[in-house]
Amino acid sequence: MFSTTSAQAYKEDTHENFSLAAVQDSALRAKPETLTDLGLKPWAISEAFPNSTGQPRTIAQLFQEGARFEDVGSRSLNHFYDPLRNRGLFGVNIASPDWALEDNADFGAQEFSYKDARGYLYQALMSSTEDERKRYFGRTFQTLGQVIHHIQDMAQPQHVRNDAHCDAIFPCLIPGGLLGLYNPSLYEQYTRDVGNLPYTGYSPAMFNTARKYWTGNGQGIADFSNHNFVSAGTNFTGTSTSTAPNPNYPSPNGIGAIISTRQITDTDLLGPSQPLTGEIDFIGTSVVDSYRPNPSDFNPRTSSYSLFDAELTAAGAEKTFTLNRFNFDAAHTFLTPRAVGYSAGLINYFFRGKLDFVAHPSTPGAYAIENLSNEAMNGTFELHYDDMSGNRAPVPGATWTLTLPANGQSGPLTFTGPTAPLPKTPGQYMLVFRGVLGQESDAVIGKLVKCTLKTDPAAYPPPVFTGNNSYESAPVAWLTREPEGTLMLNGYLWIKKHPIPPPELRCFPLPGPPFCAWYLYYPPSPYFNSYDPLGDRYTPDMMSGNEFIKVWIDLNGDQIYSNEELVYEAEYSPLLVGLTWYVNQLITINAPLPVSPQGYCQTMMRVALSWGAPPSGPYADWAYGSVVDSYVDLR
Amino acid sequence: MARLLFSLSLYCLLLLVLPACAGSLTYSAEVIEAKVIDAETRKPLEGVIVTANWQLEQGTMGGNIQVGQLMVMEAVTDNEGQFLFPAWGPKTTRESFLVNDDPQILLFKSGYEYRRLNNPYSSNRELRLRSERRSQWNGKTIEMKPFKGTSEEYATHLSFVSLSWAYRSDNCEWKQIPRLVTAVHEQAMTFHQRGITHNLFTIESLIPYPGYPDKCGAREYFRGRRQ
Repeated sequence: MFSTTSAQAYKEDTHENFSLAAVQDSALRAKPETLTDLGLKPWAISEAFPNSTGQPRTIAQLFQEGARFEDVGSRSLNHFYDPLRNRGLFGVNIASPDWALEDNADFGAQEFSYKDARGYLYQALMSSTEDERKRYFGRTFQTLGQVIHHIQDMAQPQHVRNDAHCDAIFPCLIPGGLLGLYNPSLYEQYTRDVGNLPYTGYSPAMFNTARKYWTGNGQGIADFSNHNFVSAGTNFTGTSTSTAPNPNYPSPNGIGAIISTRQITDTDLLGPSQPLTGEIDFIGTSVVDSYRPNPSDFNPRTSSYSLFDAELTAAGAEKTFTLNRFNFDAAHTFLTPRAVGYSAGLINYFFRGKLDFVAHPSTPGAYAIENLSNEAMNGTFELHYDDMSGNRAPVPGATWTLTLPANGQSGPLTFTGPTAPLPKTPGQYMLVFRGVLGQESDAVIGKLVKCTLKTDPAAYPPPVFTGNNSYESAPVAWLTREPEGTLMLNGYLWIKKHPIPPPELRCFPLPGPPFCAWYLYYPPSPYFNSYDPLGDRYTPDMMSGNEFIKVWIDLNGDQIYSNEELVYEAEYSPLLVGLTWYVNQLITINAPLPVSPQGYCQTMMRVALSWGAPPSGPYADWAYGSVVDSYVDLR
Repeated sequence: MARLLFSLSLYCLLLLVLPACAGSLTYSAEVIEAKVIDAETRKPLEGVIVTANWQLEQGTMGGNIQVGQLMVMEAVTDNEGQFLFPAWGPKTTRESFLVNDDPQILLFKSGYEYRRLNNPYSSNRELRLRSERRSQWNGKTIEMKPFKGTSEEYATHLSFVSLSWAYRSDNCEWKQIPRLVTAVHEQAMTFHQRGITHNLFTIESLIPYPGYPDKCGAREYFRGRRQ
């Protein structure tokens, strides 16, 4: 029944802004792979997910709403934590880290803890339908918003010094001003009124457990706030010249405090032409940051000693320690950036695990799981895939229980590519890990595996020509598709747009002066871009007559172009422009599906051109033509 | 602590004999009329969308929570930069109350820094409980600054205009501020077309996914809007 005391922390609007600043400062925005590894679009795309009432929200909005929802009902009673005594409000309510993390015990009414977020993320990665997956992603982000709400509350001194504050007219004031519980937090209201707070300036903190964001070795945000700041109900005692700590909280202790006496008529305090008179002694104390020590940190206005208290209700009484907006202003410069930096850090901690799934370096046809994290993993790894209708299912025979050291790799792993139902994108899988990650007992990591095998270009023999032909192997690295999320059409191969080679001014010899007929030569480009409305130009080194083109892609990765892998053929009539014949043709290559059960997503493409008659095959010999081999990326 | 424990115990006893401590409060508000000018040119600013919301809070067992709005109004400044919110009331609430920073006033005009205004907080009980609400911005001249910076910086600036109270699916308050909802949507589309990441609510933000209840009828209201 102690819960009759109101206990809300920062106002909802303030939490929203803290959370927005935090998520914008986190890896979700700074490192695009944090989202794309989960199969999501990068931050810049602003992908939407349903919130708990089904409305579309961006990730940032979900974090904001989560921060707002955490105050609903009686949840806020569990937003206190006294790190000196390791307990919650009055010692009877659930301590903030216990409630927010559920790492020590489960609470029946709690569905939005860090532990719950792990469960939601797992469901988001392996649920069958896309709707379900999006719903669970929405729930994951909203829940994390609720968790970092606690980090922000820990940056409010009242919440780490067992200093309850009731803002409610019902039931704390009406009926019952006699109850004496009405004690609104000036600090929080002032925070809201200020609006523009110093959100930046403290880069995301990184610890090796989630609980350490609250407390541990004096480095948690609760440790920092408790140690360095007083609150309305736990202020200094004594006098300004003989300052003593609060009996319940030995720090700040006031030893070595610097006192600055100011008149409230000073215009930088109240402004000109105000009718009040009086004097304030500001108590200045050192600020100790055990996580990022900075010996010069000093709060010149930790507390005030004056008749001029915050509410002016004590006028005529003896001087007392109190807090006013000048103290709040000073506190904010330390607390707000840390509220954001610790919140962003906890988001990063949640998404810190990194995996990859690659071809095994020494076992052909086998794969390996790479632990790209600096912490060991011990748990279950499973592959899932999306079928043609978008439903996700486990890949048969692709579940492994493994222990991987930090930055280590598994031994060879084998499985058979799924065929029933057929995959939507062959070779693409969602690798899901659940288990121990470092000191976290039930972590979840997702990795969208888009390319499992690459062919070896050196293993492809060049064509053998006897006629007037040319051969070119594209001197480029593996092509990659345009940025993720910009194109998403099924059933097509998308080949990276390649810049058109600039034309060259060439001389066509003439028997007499001026000896040259200058013309523009368009170098051949083997790259085809099926989504560029302008198309890419291809200029066969021919002067007239129809041109024939055939394109093969080694879809099954066997390093042989077969007739079944012919993906394009056409006949074009070159146009004469000026002195040059050329073909300017936009082509679209439709790839048969499945491309390859194994998923050779980076392989070779052969483009053959001939004059007069089509190339008879990928390894045929003919007169007048050219062949270009290129790497292609089928992801 | 002993005094606190005694008070808590007494309150618990009162809870048993006074059902829910439930009470009703009656509120009314005075007219709010003000003028908006460009902070640089000092000239009246026309077309500024101004909203005012009187936010209700509730003292539950867990503290204050925001439970909706007692009143929401919207206005647009005229060619003299003037806007007016008429007086209203009395309106009665049960088990919820206004705090004395109401109303919250938001001013929005594309290309300008948004402004959010409210009464400064006071813990003065008389002021806090007063049934006649009065905005300290009545009769004032309010400056709006043209935004100086890149479009990306403007998107970041606007991301902190906290509007989630109006976009909830249960209270339908967005229906009372159609100009603001539309203007924010258009601003979001402008950012979108320029490839600028933003965090603004769009009209689509109001339409629940299939399978979720649509208490406010947003699907019908914006039929055909969702892509």
